[in-house]
Parts: sequence; structure tokens; C-alpha cells
Amino acid sequence: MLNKNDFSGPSDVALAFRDVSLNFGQGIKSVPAIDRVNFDVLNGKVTTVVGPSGCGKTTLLRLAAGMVPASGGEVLHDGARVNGLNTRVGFVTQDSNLFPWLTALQNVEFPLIARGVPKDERRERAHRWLKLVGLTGFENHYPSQLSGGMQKRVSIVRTLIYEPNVVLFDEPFGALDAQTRMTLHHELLELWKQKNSTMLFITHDLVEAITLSDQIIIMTRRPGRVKQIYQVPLARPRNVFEIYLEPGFDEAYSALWEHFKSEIVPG
Amino acid sequence: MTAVDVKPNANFAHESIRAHRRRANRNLAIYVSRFAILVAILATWQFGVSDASLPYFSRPTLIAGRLAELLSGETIYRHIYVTLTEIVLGYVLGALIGLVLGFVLGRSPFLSSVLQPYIMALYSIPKIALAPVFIVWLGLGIASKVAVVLLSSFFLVFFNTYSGLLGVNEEFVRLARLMGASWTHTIGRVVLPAAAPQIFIGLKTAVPYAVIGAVIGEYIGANEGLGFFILYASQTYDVPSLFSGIILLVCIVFVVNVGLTRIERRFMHWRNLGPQTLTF
Ligand SMILES: Nc1ncnc2c1ncn2[C@@H]1O[C@H](COP(=O)(O)OP(=O)(O)OP(=O)(O)O)[C@@H](O)[C@H]1O
Ligand SMILES: [Mg+2]
Repeated sequence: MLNKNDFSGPSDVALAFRDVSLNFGQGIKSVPAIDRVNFDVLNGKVTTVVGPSGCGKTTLLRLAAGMVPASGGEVLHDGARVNGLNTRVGFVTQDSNLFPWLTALQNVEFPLIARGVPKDERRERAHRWLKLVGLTGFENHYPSQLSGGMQKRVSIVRTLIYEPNVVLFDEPFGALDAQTRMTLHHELLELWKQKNSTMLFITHDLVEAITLSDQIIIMTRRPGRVKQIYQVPLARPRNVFEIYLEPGFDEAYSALWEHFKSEIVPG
Repeated sequence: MTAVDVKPNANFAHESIRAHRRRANRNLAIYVSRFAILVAILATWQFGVSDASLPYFSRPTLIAGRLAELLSGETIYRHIYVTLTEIVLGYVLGALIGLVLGFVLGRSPFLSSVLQPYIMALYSIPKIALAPVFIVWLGLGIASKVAVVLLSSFFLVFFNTYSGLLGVNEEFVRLARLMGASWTHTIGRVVLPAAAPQIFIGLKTAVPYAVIGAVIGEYIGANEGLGFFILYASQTYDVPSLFSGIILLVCIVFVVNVGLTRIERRFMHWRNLGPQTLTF
């Protein structure tokens, strides 16, 4: 069943998924990855998608970024159909996808160079962002010289540094230790508040979903459908370091877990 | 905000000094062994050749003497100059055409399908077999040899550029575009660097083929150049000169390769970050 979102008008919607389906392969070999997905990503809000592995979460983001065309339905960005690469979104991919021939600093500067930001400002912003994620001293390291978690942080910074209005995150904190992860949750929420940006966030982790989001989309097992849309009742600002103590956390967790467990335990 | 605060390379200083020393020792052992093999070969040659077979095989000392003699004269430099010119002109032109064509076909599936049979046909012709044709068309001078060198180096550069471009991770290209990079920016900063390792393989393997092209071209018809010099020495049974010519050729290949490796290192610093390995 579907809960209708309560939004006052279409201008509140940044990204709208309308009956979006995607099949991989052709003809009788065609396999549905996601099936008639409907939900809205509201402007200035954090929307999280949770669901079991392989249910099509990454596929949803690729559709929103225009990296794959939908087999059915459409994705709208500010009311306009996404058709071809959607350069108005930033995309932190599941793999770090850093350019191996560029250093951490050069990777982070890449989108700024592409956008013609003058050198001094570029340097200053890059250093500030790398410092923010604890990578001062690693500016001149190549991706192969960084740990998986460090690469992840560089790749997050590479997207956030140019401040896209809508940011897609594909499990960005999966490979990080708990402390770093909480720190980055905190930073992310600070930034979000400050820039009033819109985020579509993917995770496996229910606690992370509750910590960050206003709205949680729960997906079914493959082929992915929207099983439930859950509005997170926790007030903001939230203390990400002790999210368990926030009023309403336990209720939110058990409500989510009810939906989620039936998708991971078959039957 | 306090994220993890790690100092790079702290506490590893001692470890790295020891590792460095171990590596240096190993490298030394390798160089010594290599040198020993060279000495063994030269000694066998020097002392294994009987006086009766001397005219056919010569001896390292005799060859060294002849080489020194040649290098203190003048004519050999003209030969070296001619061959080098053929190699450099032919190689640079061939590589440029190979790069451009490989690039265009690598990004255009349509063109590459259209041209594929022609390229395969041209590829299957042994380029050396065309040398007589070029001599008929372009004469005994440099031009015919430049053409042979061009054709022999072109294919290796072309194929490697082409396959390098096909191997570029399209996700990188899409992400670059998504981050706002223009097409030219994406080509220059993403596509080319991603394909560079393969392109350099083509550029490097083409060098010996370029040299072979020039020398065989000269064997077939020329009146100067190292190939001509070697052929002439062979026809007059001047074995020390023959080997001197060959040694000079090897030196040319070596110098060009060292130069290319330098350029490669500058471009692809990022690829050589692992533990130090011996370079050739
Ligand atoms: N290029 C492709 N060709 C064929 N099938 C694909 C392709 N990409 C994804 N799929 C299939 O589509 C389904 C959804 O994939 P997707 O990557 O979106 O899952 P996910 O929810 O992100 O999983 P995870 O949580 O493990 O990252 C998977 O079952 C996968 O096998
Ligand atoms: Mg995924």
C-alpha cells in the first residue's frame, strides 16, 4: 500500500518518480529491476531509500541522474522530464569512482575546474573541504594510496564541493567506521541546513535512515516496488551522536523494522 | 568538527629505511648478475672463435676497435643521420596518424565498423613487403624509407590507441559530464588519461618496428644510412663493420626507448606508486 505524500504544490517537488519501471535485457530475457515506482523527493528535504540488496536502489539514482533511460514511466526534475544526463544533480556513486590519474586534491577540484572557478578560490575550497573530512595531509595522494574509507570521503567531497541543489547519495558511508560515519552525518546535516539542499539518500542501515531523513521509502525485494513511505517524526536538529536518545527514535525504528524484516526474511 | 586525524607516513620511517636498503641490495645483485652474463658472452665469443673462423665471426675486441675507428671518422655520422631522420620522421608521422585515427574510431562505433575491413586488409599486409613499391614510387632517397617506417609504426599506435579508448570506463565519462565537464574537458582530462597506459604501450612497441622498417628499407634499396652501411659491410665480408653497424642500431633503439619511458613516467606518475620495481 502507498501513503500519499502531503505536499502543498508541485513546486515543492524536486524529483518525481512517476510509474517508473526498468527492465534489463531484451525480449524474453528481459528482467524487471524496478517496477512502477512512485514517490516524490521534496525540495529542501532528505529522502532516504532503504531496501534489500539488489532491489534496485542504485538503479533509481541512475534513472534520476539520467544515466539510464526508464523502460516505463518517467522521472521529473522540477517538473521537466529527465532525458539524457541530468547535470543539475550531484551523484555520489556507490563505488568511489575517483579518477586514478588525479590526486585527492585534483579529484576534488575537477568539478570546479569544469565550472571555471578561478584557481585561488578553487584551492581554498578544496583544502577547506578536505579538512572537513579529515584528509588534510593527503592532498597529494593518489586514490590508490588511500584507504577505501578515505577514497569514499574524497568522492563525497568531490560532489558536495560544487554545491548541487539536488544530491544523490548511494550508500556513501557504508565503508566507514562508526565514529567517522557519525561525524559525517553531523557535517552532512549541518550543510544541508545551511544550504537548504535536497538529498536523495540510499542506505541499508535503518538507523542511518532515521538519523538523516524526513521521509523514508521502503522498497520490496527484487523487482523493487515501493512498499511503504514513512515520514520520520523526529524533530530537528537531531543529535546524531546519540540518535537513540531522541524522542520518537524507538517507535520509528520498530515501525520501520516491521516493514523491512518481511523483505529480508522471505515468506 | 574533528574527523580522523592521521599524519601520513608517521612512524613508518624506520620500516621504510630498512625496506629501502633491502631493495637496494636486491637491485645491486640483479645488476651484478646481468653484468656477469654479458662478460660471459663476450668472453666466450672472444676466446671461442678460432683463427680459421675469424673472418666470419670476428671478435669483440676487433669490433670495439673498428667501432672506435668509425666513430672517429666522418662518414658513419652521415649514415646515422640518414637512418635517424627516416626513423624520426616516419615514426612521428605514423604515430600522429595512428593517434588521431585510433581516437576517432575509438569514439565512433559507426566509423570503426565502416572502416574495419579496410584496416584489417591493410594490417594483414606485411609492411616490409611494400618497401619495393615505395622505392618505385618515391625513389632510393629518404622518402621511400620514411613511408615504410610510417606504415610500420602507424598500426601499433593505431590499434593500441583504439583499444585504449574502447577500454575507457564509461562511468568515468558519464560522471565527468554529470559534474559539468564539457566534451573537450572530458576528452582531455578523462578519456585521454584513462587510455594513456595503452597508448604508451603502442608508442613504445612501435619503436623497434620503426627501426626495422628503416633498416630493411635501406637493405632493399638505398645509397646511404646504417642499413646500407651494414649491407655493404656484409657484401665486402667486413664483419667488424657489420657488427659495428648493428651495435649502433641497437643504441638508437635504446636511446629512443629511454626517451619514451621518460615521457611516459611524467604522464603516468600515478601508475607507478606501488613498491619499487626494476625498470628496463
Ligand atoms: N547493467 C545491468 N544489467 C543487468 N542487470 C542489472 C544491471 N544493473 C543492475 N542490474 C540488476 O538490477 C537489480 C538492481 O540493481 P541495483 O544495483 O539497483 O541494486 P541495489 O538495490 O543498488 O543493490 P545494492 O544494495 O546491493 O547496491 C539487480 O538485481 C541487478 O542484478
Ligand atoms: Mg546499489
